[in-house]
Amino acid sequence: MIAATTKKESRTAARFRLSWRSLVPFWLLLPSLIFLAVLQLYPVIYSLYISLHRLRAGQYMPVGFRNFERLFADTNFYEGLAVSFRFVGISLVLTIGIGMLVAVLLNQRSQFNALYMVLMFVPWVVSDVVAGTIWRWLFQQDYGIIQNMIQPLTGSTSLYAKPDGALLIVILATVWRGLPFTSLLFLGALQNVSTEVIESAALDGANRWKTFFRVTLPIIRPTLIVAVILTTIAGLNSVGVILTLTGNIPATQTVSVYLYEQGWQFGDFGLGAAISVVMFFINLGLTLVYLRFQRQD
Amino acid sequence: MKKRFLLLTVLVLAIMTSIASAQDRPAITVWTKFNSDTPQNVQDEWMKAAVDDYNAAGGSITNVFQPYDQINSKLNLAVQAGGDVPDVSYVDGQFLGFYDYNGTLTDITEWVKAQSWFEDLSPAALSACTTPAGVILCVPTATPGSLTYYWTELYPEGFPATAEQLLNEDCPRLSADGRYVATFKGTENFGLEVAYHSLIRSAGAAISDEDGRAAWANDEMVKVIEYVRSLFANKCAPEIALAGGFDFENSFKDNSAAAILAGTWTYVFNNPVTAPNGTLYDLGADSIFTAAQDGQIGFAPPLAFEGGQPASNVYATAWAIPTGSANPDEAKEFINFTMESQRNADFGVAYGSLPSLLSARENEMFQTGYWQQVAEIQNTYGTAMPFLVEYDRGIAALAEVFTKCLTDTSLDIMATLQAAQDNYNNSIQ
Repeated sequence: MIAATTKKESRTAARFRLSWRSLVPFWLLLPSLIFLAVLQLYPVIYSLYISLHRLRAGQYMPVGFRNFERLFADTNFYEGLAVSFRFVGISLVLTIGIGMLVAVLLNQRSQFNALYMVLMFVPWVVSDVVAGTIWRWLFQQDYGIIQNMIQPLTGSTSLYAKPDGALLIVILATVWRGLPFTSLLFLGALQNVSTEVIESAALDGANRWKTFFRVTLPIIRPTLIVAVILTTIAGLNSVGVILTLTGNIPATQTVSVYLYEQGWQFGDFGLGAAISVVMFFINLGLTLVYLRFQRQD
Repeated sequence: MKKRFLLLTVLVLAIMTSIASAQDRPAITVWTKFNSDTPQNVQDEWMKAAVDDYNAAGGSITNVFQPYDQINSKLNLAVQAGGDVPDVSYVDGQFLGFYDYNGTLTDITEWVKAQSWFEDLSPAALSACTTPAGVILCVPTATPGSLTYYWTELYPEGFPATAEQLLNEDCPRLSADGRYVATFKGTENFGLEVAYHSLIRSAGAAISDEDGRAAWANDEMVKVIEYVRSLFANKCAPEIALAGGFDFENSFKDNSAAAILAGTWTYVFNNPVTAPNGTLYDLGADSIFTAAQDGQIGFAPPLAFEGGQPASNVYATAWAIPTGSANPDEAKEFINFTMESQRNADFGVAYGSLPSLLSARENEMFQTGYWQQVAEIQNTYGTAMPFLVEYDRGIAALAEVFTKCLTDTSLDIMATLQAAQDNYNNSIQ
């Protein structure tokens, strides 16, 4: 009887040790999970909660989906989305394209590489406001260096005054800001590409273009996808550079700036939260699409 | 020895008592759009002096600078979100309805009525701080308004009396000389309040109905936008007016624009200026006044259509105690401190508007030609912006219509106005 009990206890203890051991990864991840839950999950859930309420005089009043109805009936929201997609689309292509080019150039051994890296990082370390102010001055009507250079070409008093011109300036500033990040990301990936693979391709008769597009690019594709995801999300959520450069004008009113206007400027937290919920799903959707591309590898 | 000990004890007690009494007055925070830490203009310098004087008089106040176009919304945001609200804050009178709707400010009716300066307040200024229900939510400090500055050499007959005359007669004349008839901020709320308000009113266009709902989609409003489109199409106004920011001011400063649709405060920021005869006025905020004394700059009512009356958009700058203020009594002490007549007059000159106290308006600083004309324009043409349930949202939406229709001339003005009007009215239901 005693022996049977002891055997049972030892089996229970062993099972406990086993489950404890199997839970070790969970325990190790727990601090990060708590951190993520507090900083990521809670704001998302709270935004959803606010989006279903109207806040007046510090009081929450439940309004169901009224904020979403208002949002989807507002033409400014759709115009903001259109501006956002134009802005993100163009700046994404330029940031990724030029970033890749810069990374390829930096990947060639050069004695000035260290200097180039330092110079390249300047835009990354300046704040949105500083970056916005620099670009604003470059296109300032009377003493802007770039504005003076393009004046004979555009025939315009100021590129700012043209809706497309204002958006173009914002795109240029955003690309300038984003380049160090993508370039460094691509440079890291390029440096991990085995030289043997490249040499094999050359021995098989592939020229530089073919080697890059058929060999190198597929190898660094995971990094490319990450860069595309992060650049897209950063572009969609960008507010600081836009407001500093052009203020809140229709030509550059992206959906993020529209959110800022409704939520912060007008104090309409319910509508602002509804916009943020929609933006969350847009960001999520785009991320899933990109990840699907990666899985197809 | 005993005497020394006694003296030392008395000294220590005196120091402790003075520290204790100083600590009796709580430290307070004020939000303003004036940068007293690193003053950039006379407004900032006034605030710095006010903080220094108040603290020297035994108070303890810290000024927190907020951007001019964010201070009202940030204050509401702080109150709604239950964040750190200041004890007292600068507010713009146009936002009274917005504040009332959101419960952002404390009702100070009884306290204001009990103050010695209450009877001395300009009725118009007081009304700018009083809700339709008679509740006083703020203490007016000054009454800024809109007007026109012009280079007299470029308008020898004076600034044209009508908008039509400006477009049809002065524009061809000045364009031939490579000049614009006027510059102005053509975008955002500021543009609507300062540049377009008078045109809208004089055209007979409605902005809101009796319930504070938008009523923009009317032929008169279309006429205003078409007129401004003509100004740009005929190169009568600089295109930079349609960009964000304040680059448009440079055209007046270097006299490439013959006039500026301005506010009473414009002299604070528009300097130095160069007259058409080449004279440079680089005297800070006194530049415009000196140019005016020399007969180079003249002042006129805001631009208006023929058959209509100019409208100077008069509002109030004010102090208010936000809901949740930790030290409302000390906040009131600070307000009282600034409402002393001489200090109120100093604020008026620094801000660039008539002070709210009638006695301060009698101050010799306001007996100059500029201030006499400001007073005359405000008395004759002063009108407040119409009531909109959500002022900032409404004005921003209408300003966006102007910007869209002016930068994209293919847009159907009436359809754009109608869409914006529906959006706004839908949002306030």
